[in-house]
Amino acid sequence: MDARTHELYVDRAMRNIGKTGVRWWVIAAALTACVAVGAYAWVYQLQRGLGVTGLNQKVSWGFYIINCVFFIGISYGGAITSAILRLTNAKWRAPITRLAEGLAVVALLVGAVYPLVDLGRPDRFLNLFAYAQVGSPVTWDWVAISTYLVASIVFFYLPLIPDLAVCRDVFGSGVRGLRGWSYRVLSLGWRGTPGQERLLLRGIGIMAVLIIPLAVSVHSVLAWLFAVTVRGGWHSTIFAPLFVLAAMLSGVATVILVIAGFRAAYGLQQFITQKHFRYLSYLLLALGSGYIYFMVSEYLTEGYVLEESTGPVLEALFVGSYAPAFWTFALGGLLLPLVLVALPGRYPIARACVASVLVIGGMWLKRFLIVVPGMAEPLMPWDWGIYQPTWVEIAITVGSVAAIPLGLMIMFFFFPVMSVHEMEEVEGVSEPAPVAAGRPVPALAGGGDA
Amino acid sequence: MLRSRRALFVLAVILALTLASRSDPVARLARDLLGPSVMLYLPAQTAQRGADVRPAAGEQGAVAGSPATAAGQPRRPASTVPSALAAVTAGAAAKPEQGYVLGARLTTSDAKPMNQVTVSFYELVELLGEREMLIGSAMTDGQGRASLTYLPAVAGQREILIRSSASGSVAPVEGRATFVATVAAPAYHPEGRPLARFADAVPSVVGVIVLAVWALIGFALLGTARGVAVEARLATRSNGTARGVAARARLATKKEDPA
Repeated sequence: MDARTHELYVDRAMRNIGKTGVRWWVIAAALTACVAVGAYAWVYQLQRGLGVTGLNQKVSWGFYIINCVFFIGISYGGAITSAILRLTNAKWRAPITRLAEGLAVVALLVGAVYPLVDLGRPDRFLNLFAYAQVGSPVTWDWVAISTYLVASIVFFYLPLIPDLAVCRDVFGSGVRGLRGWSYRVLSLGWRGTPGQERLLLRGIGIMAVLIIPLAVSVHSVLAWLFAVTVRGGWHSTIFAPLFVLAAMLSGVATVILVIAGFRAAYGLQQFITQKHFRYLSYLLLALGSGYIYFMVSEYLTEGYVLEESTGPVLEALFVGSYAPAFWTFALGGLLLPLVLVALPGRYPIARACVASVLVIGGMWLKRFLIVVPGMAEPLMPWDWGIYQPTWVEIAITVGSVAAIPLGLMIMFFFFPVMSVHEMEEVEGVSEPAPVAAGRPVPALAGGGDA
Repeated sequence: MLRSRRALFVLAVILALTLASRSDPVARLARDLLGPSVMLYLPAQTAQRGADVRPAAGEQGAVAGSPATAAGQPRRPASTVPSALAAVTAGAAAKPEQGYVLGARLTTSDAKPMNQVTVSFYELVELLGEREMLIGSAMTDGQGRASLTYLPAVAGQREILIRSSASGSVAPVEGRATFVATVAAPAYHPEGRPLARFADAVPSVVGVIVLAVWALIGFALLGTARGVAVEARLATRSNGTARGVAARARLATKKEDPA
């Protein structure tokens, strides 16, 4: 690889480190405001109790559990996308793995907060350790989430080591304080020697292999929280694979949106090309088709047997009070996006982004349709429960949604947005697209036209 | 004439006694006068699990008395064949969790065993008011013995009432005995979980897997970090990678000459 290409990689990957333009601050301020409103709502809830939410005696799980499953699912999609691309040695992965791994960490941190919010009194979280029940999925859920969180951070950190060394070398003594110190310490004295390369490759390989079963286990345990109960619509043997597929589907959709956003904002059009979106769209299509198959299989078997507790839930979903939401999800959040990415045509990036937005919205709706009707169906001869989320739950949800791009912006304020080391490794296969003459690549921080 | 009057008087007395003997008070009087004594005792076999079954305090292993006096109960109506409760026993059952075997032996007044007589066993309880709680019934065999298994609800001294029913010409009798129960039915007896042994092992197996995963994560992180740091110390280069140096130099040049 020539020095010019290396310089291009370093320039594009690191041009926004430590720099903030007006647009960066505007977006960060807007996102921070949303997060602040969410934080205020949580404090409000802590002061007044869970009574300020729409949760009630009959429907005691609502937005918080839905969001927990949803955000952890997104994290899972980010991690597994990166891991699969690494293990299959997909050469086109290099510009997007860092974003996918960063998304995995940030989304997991956001999702892991939700059980604390749902508790009402976060101090009771300590009871999970003081009175741990090894037979309870809740205990193992936290074991799985904490293990997966650590693994995600390690999986994000290991490929970052060579780039931290580049940061250390490029910025040198120009960066002082915590940032400069962290570059020096976290780069571990990386010199790019063959011995270091070998050790790093081994470490990343272990984590890439490990992160897949870990992510599967996390979402399976989350699914078993529902499936081991006898509630209608929950007690299903297929729930764990269904949850895993849903997580991958929403995760890949979010990866598409994230790379599209950073591509536009950080001027990465040379590296993240239509090819990346096309390949990720194929992945989205395959996962979506698999999800439809699993979902039809579940509803077919449950609907054919029609157990006493399942029948009313299916009726509510298909033709009852939840039918509008269900058919919106099925047609608008699942079928339409797959048609969008399956059909050949122009604007593949735009179509992939629209399909991703629809899939993300649809999968959130699907989690809602799993949690709420299952809770609302009475197990005694009572009326159905009613769940109407209040402004507190909506504000916390909006705040957590905003926390993900904000977290990514902060993350890539300190770290390179692309893996220079990996791009150099696969340089022979994935040459950067030529830059249009006389047209500077826009940059968010540099005040360019994003 | 006198002889005939005496004969008539004797006949009248006999007739009166015969008729009177069919009434309860007379029958009881007759049984008191004629009936044999009844032994209410806890025989040696009750001490098979000695600690479990003991004679009640003050009874010294046996209580003697007539069917009526042994338990202080009123006499039952007499019938043509007087019966007697020869023995009341409470012995340990074959399995400790089955509790005790309550037994009774019925005999006629001349100590012949009474077959096919229903005997009911009661426990005198005070829960929800003092009353006789039916434990169950059993039929006497050819030896006049009837028995059933009983596991008391609570441990401690238990008072058992045995009552035989009137059957045909057999007169009913009753008797009491006490014993100290050291085995009792637990207040809550959950059913055994299916696949309990397997289910108990699952958390341990999962725990081992989790520990192995943590060990692998630790190895991947610490092994890599340590190895990279050691390699770095061994490396001769001391001023960053060649690429980094070159890139820094080029960036510095760019800053100086933005055009």
